[in-house]
Amino acid sequence: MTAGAAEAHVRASRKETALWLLDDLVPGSGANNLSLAFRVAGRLDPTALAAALDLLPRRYEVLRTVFHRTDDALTRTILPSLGIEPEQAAGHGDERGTLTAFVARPFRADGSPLLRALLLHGPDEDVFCLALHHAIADVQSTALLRAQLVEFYEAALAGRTPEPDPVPAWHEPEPSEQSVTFWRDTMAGFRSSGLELWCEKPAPATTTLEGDEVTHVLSPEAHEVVRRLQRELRAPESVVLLTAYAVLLAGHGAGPDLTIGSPVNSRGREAAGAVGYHSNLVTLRLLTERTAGFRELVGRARRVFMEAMAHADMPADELLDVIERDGSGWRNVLFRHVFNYVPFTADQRTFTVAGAAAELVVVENGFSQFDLEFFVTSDRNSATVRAAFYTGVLDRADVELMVRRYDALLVAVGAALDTPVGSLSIWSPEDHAIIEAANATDQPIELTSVLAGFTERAAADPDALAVRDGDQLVSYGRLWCAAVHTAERLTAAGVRPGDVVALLVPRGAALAAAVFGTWLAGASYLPLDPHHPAERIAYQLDDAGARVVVTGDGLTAPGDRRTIPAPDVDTAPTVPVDVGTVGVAGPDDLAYVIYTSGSTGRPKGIPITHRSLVNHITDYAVRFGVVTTARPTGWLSTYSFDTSSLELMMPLLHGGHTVVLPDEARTDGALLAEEIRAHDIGFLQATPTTWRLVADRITDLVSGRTLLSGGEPLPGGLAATLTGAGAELWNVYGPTESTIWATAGRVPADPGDRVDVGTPIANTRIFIAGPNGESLPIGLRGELCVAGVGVASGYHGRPDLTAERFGVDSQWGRFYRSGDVARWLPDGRIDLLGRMDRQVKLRGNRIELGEIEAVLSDHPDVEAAAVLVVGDPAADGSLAAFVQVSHRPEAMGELWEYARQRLPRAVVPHRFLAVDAFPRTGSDKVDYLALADLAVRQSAATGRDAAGPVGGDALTATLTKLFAELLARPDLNADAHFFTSGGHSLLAATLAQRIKDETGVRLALTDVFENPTPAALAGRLRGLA
Amino acid sequence: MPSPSVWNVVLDAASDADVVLATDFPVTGRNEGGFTDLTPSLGLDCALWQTVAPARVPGPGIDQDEYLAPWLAEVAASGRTVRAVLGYCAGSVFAGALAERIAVRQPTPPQVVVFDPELVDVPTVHLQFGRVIGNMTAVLTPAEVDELAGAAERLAARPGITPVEFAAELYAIFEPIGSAALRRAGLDEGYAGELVALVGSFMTYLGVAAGLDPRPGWSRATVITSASPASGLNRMRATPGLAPIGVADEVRFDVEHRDLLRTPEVATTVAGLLGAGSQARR
Repeated sequence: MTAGAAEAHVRASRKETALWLLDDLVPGSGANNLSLAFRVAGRLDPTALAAALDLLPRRYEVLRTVFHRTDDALTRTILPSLGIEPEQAAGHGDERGTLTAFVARPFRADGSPLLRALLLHGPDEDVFCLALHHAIADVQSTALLRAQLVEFYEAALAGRTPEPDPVPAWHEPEPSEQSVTFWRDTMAGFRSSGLELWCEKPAPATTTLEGDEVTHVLSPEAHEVVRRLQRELRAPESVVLLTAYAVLLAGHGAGPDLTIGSPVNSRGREAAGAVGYHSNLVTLRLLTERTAGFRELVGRARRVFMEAMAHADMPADELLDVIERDGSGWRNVLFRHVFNYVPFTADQRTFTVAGAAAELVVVENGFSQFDLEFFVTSDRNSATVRAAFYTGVLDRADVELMVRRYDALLVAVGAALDTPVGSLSIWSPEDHAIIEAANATDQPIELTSVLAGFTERAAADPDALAVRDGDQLVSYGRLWCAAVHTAERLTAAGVRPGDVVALLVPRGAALAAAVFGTWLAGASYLPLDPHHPAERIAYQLDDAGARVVVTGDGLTAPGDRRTIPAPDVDTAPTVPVDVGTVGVAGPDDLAYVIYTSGSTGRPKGIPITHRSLVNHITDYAVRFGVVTTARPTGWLSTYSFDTSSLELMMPLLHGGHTVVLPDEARTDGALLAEEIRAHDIGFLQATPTTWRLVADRITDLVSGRTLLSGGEPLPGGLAATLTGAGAELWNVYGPTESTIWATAGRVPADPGDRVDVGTPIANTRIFIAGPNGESLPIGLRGELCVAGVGVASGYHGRPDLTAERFGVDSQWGRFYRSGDVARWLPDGRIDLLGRMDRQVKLRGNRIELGEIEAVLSDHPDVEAAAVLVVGDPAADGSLAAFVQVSHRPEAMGELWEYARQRLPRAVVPHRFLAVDAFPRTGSDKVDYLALADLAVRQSAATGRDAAGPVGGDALTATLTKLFAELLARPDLNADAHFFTSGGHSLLAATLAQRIKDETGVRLALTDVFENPTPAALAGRLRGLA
Repeated sequence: MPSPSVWNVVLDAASDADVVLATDFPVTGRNEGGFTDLTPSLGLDCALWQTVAPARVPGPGIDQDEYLAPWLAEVAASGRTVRAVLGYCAGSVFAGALAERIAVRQPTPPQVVVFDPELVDVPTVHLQFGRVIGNMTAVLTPAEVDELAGAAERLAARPGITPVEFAAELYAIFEPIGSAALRRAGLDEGYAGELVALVGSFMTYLGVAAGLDPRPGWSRATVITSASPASGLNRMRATPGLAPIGVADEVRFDVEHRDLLRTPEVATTVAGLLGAGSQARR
């Protein structure tokens, strides 16, 4: 390519500047590149093509435009001449890849030409491709250029060399005042943060704009609806299609104050044939509320679209000043989704070049400026959606489903023009198939209760081992006798069927007998944790109305209660097993009432029936292989958690036995390993916290054993450690309100970063609900709801809370709202994303706290991390990261940089705080409430600007350095508290000594005690100096 | 009115506002919550002052009233009404004693709220001394640690030894060893002396506490009890001969002793107690 000397430089327009800004912000991208490509049968004549390519820039001045960036300005100028020599390549192999790479190659604002050509030789055909920067062309231009190029080529082939009529570059007039006013009014009060789709990922730290696309030909049914609605609603096809796009986006979480970008031609009548950058993206602001019908929305869209067209002389970039920006993003302030309607005319795609058949080839540049752009092309017979998307925020699987949902939605609206769009399903047939398959969990429940199952086994083989409790070996028969004895004593103490019996008994054979004895008495049990404070126990006893408390050795129930001691399993009178008595525990009778940990508010009692319990235990025993193994089950979990019951009950339905493990084995890996080895335990269940604590001691033992992890998110690394050691690992999930675990997923050998929670268990249905209760399809984040046999009737004695958390869905029946955010994966498994209150919007940016934690936890020195928002997320809120880095405290100083490189800027924590250990809730989970409080108190203690690295003056800086040195904490700032950062009195004396050495001022020790921050100490020193 | 010198002002308020007093010996940089952690969450509309223990060498000759006098004098001089006296751990003994003395001087007796209150006995002093040594393992040689620990064991086992004698003898053994070790670690004489004196003050504080009977003061007290079995009423109830300790009310929290003063639920409860008390007086 050759270029002549340039003419005068002119400052680039605002529209052009905005275009080049994108090249600056995403350097090396071809996001602004366009293409004109066509395939010709046979060979193109190289000489004629060269002649035609020579004439093209001679005719169109705009093609000779180049840009120069200097420090202070972007200018353009027109080269007097420009020659284009096509690059040549053999088109074997990946033609599409070759063309995409050619088009994607960046152009530069350094005076070099903004177009280039490629001639690709296929076996029987040639492909010609012209790549142009958007600054000198648009889609309309490529059609004009194609016609002109063919004309020049044919002339050259015929031996003519026409002298082209020069066409000067056309410059758009300034937008009219009327348009400026119109757009300012139209966009007033708009905020782009409401545009995010529930299937979008947070934008990556570095914007790449790497794009991908999906193509879908509308089904004949959908196309028929579009054609019909044009007539029926008296709206252009484009508006019908646009409205459906808006409804689709709204169904995916955008809006209802929705904006969609739409390209329009900004050529005035006098410039209809102008080549150049003469398209504008207009912003269509379309209120898409759920209550409106499609007919109404089409009317609204038509008006919005027409008005926008009438004011299309205002480039979108001029509008940016009007909009209040949310967050720090520079992308997509006006809209994130684009709709582009291209009516087809037959001659546009196929034509002839000197008599040879030719057809247009669509070449993408491999980038997407927008989150999602629908290009809809349509003719009488069909319509095609090409959906281009930014891979940084959307996955191909999501977009593939979206185009299918678009199709299904069009079919649906055809029959329901006045139905509120919020009640129309946006599900595609694939969504239905996959989610319904995952929920097809119906199974007959053969046992009436766990009691019945246990009794059958006891009758069949009374001498078999049921419970190993230390040195005590308890057979099924013995356990039965102790249960009968317990039932008799309970009855004697006044317990009647339907009563509640509290069990204040440590895990062991006596507790097992008390459980079955309670059921034999027709009662349900209330499991109590002897470690809980007396008030909590008293509250549960009173609230549940427990008739009698069964107490273990040395334990007493608070207050004046009727108690009986736990059975002595070894000495209970021997009685034959009687399967006839188990009918006292009917499927609809309560098996237990359990209280949730109640981190906020009063603990809530959850009554669970025998049907729910036996359904779940039966499923687990089969699913987790307890039925088929000869190895015993470990009984490790605290019995006041419902999860503990499966460790007792699964083996007892199948003739196996459970081994009582000590509480300390939950934290002492060596002890747990000893127990596994001694008893050859085949099944163990714990929280990820426990697995993390014990993993290094048990990895050489777990091969071939089944491990369950539940209660908290299972980190991928931990899962990989366990599966890598050969464990059969399951990740389970479930609220107590729907009975123990509701879903289970076998963790694959190479679990990756995120471990899903599998699929619903027997007779359990999961649905993911949007904010309006609508059931969401694959990929969309919403609240996980559990329906099915396990769902409790509600909270005991709490109708208000019951009404809030439990509901009835027309499709899924009675359900429980979990408060957890989740989404369906394309394979029908469930991806759990954390608690709803852990998904926050901080100044407009959606933040998944769990994901930040995952990134921090990947740092080699971080043992664990917890991230939370401190303060009001809408105002002064900030992100605080608590990290455990006890093995290398100096890693604290590296974390900010580490996070900054891996996380979008908006979610990099503002503060990093080291902790020795995380406060934990009673159920062994991280206590975020306690952390939030700690963060607030640290803020209060360290003043307002805790994020600043050091204080503003030299003395404070010196003191900060001393603090950091003495405490080995390079992360400390001017407001760091000496004693909460690891200091003690001896170090305080050393600090005072060092200060004296450096400043000559002698502080008393009490000065350090009373002024424990560098800033405060600096003040004290100044006072003394 | 000048700033108090034997009280540390944790929360200031207008000169005519009430004051809440808190008794604790927090300056050792221990890993425990203190009143400075608790105070911001109390939402007080009055001042909160915390004891500064006098620098004294422990010994049997210290008169308890003389020890308490500077604290009482400064409160009296301020003219403030004492709304409540709070105490933590062994400091609860002083809270009880101070409250009893203040009650006779103002129309309404102050509320008393004590957190894991402990009567000071030989095991208490032994435990606290162990913590002091634990903080100094970086400068003491293993032989010195052994010597101090061994001496403490022997003294504790001596029949009939009183807490005051125990504290005084421990300090007498510690003083030369500690001073030498701190000088060796590079501290100048002044700072080494200050640190050693601090240990002396602490032992004195414990010794004086052991001689006071806080039970009359505690009988009106609300006790906040942690879940730690070796602390507060939990320990005293399990110690033969001590129970019963009469208290007006007890609120238990499922947190460790060291976290008691930095637990939000505790703060909420105490804020409620103090708020209710101040309402009742209006």
